[in-house]
Amino acid sequence: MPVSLKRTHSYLLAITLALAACGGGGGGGSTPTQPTQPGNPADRGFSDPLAYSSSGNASLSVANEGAALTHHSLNLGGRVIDYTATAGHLIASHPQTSQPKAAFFYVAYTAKNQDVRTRPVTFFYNGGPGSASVWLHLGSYGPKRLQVGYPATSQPQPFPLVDNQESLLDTSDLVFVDAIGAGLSQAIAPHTNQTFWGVDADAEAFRDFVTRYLAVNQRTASPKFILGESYGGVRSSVLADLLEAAGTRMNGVILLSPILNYYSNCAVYSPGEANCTGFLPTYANTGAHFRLTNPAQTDYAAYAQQMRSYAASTYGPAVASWLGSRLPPSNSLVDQLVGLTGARANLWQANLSLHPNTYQFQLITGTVLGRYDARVTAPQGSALASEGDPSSTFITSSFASTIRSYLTSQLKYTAQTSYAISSNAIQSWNWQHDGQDLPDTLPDLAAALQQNPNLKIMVLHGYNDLATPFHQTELDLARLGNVPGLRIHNYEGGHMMYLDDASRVRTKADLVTFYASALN
Amino acid sequence: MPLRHLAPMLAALLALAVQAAPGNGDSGTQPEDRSHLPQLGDPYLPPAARKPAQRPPLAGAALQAQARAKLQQRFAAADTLKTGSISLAQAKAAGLGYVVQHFAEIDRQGSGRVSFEQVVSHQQGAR
Repeated sequence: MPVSLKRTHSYLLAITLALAACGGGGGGGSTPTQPTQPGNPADRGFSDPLAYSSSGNASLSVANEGAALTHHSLNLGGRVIDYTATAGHLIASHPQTSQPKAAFFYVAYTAKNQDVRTRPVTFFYNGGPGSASVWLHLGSYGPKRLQVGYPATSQPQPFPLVDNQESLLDTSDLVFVDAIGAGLSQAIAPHTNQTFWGVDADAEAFRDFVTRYLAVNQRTASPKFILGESYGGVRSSVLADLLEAAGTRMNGVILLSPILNYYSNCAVYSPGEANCTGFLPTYANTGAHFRLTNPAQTDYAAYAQQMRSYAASTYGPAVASWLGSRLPPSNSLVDQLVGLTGARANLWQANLSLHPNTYQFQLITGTVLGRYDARVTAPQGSALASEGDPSSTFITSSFASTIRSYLTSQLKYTAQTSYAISSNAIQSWNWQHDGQDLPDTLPDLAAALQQNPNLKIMVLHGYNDLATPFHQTELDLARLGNVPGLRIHNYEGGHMMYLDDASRVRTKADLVTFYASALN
Repeated sequence: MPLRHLAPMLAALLALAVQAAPGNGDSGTQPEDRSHLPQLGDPYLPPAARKPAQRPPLAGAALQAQARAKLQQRFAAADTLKTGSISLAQAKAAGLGYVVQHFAEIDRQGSGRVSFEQVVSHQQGAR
């Protein structure tokens, strides 16, 4: 098998680096503690000789587990955390045959001098499917973050990369891993990237990466968490079940703006096709943000509660009936909806199951609302509105350019190709799962809980997210019945509510509480 | 044409009008196709992938039963001889890591084989 023969050298290198990364806690820590500043003499860069590709038919004939190891420190309000950053690849292999599947690119942040038996490790990934994990990596709880300043759009770009006062590194080691075909992750021959572009094959490969990471870094005894965003919710549900079956006991699953069931989110269907009841509380709170509701609303949580009740008692049944009959809604219902959301009467009259695309473009004449964060707006026809989502367009170039320079200059990792923000996996994704054409992953989550009744689940959503509405997730999760270990939190902001400075502080506090509950 | 046929047509026309209203077109993109966006319009389904559900979404006890059936199916796949129980070797071959790790605890009688019910009861903590 040429792969395993040729990768031997780099593989050994990776083992060495990984042991060093364990610091004083892993028992392999031979690296002396050094004063941490840029250019630490203990840093070992890695120049990967390989080129990586995002194409569906791409396949590595040779792979390696080489990684760069650098030393850093983070001052969190006076508490200094010394940590290592490991950037490189680990090879996920089939658990029974040991046949290599893919070289996963990851960046791991590991605090020094910790007891690995009690120190948690958390795996982060974005969704798409096909997206790299750069959004979580440089936006959420890593040691550095891009200072975005949502919902304003007047800041100069690229945004500055700053020490992250809300980093979770005070609570857990953090591993940001890219899906196959994204970042610098790629399939190994005879597989191609396309082999892993499906709900099940993708989650199985992530399981095998997690297994490999825990083994190489001697972290099998550590408390374990996964944190996925958006499609990462589907991946997490399937992955949690697979990890439990494989004997990797999980402590917590964190679902950040997840989609859990593709049959229940009307945004993936065309307007008028599906039931959009789950979006009503999002429309209402976003209308409240723009002061378009009557009466005005300032308490998001209270208004959300009111809207859950209204959706259940009045709007939901009316939409279900409308989808069957297509008879125009009554004037009194339309009047109520106008008052509650600020969306004009003709929108409800045209499509009682008001679609988020319509809401996004029609709520305010001449203005496009962000799809990911509806509070981020741009004039129609402007550059920021040109891709249909100002909140996405505004941040893209900063994230794309910064991850590349950050990997090179601060993490001292280079490859022959640059980090890919996304692949086109979504166009040829195999959505089949559990005997259906599209993934409904509530049974997976239920199966994970049956295998591990101690498993804790935390859900975070933004009130102004027009992609994955918080109430739809609530409705989906209600199917599980009573789950004592489930916590749902909603925050001002959008799909990436962590880009809102105030909400990031709140999410961090709630995450710390969640970790404590999951470590019992 | 009877009025009850006109109403849905009118609604459909109005829906079209709203979708085609200035703003969607002016934005320079089809909001319906988000796959070009950096996060691929997540969540997004290419039109060809949009299909109706084959079964209603199960909830409560029915969902729990579906999840249990999923686990049972996984166990049955490891039970290659269809005896209703598996050996340590069969658990290993099927990648049932949990069973492998806890085999001796699950197999309290030391029979060398464990049943699905024994695995479930061990996982539920009711040993």
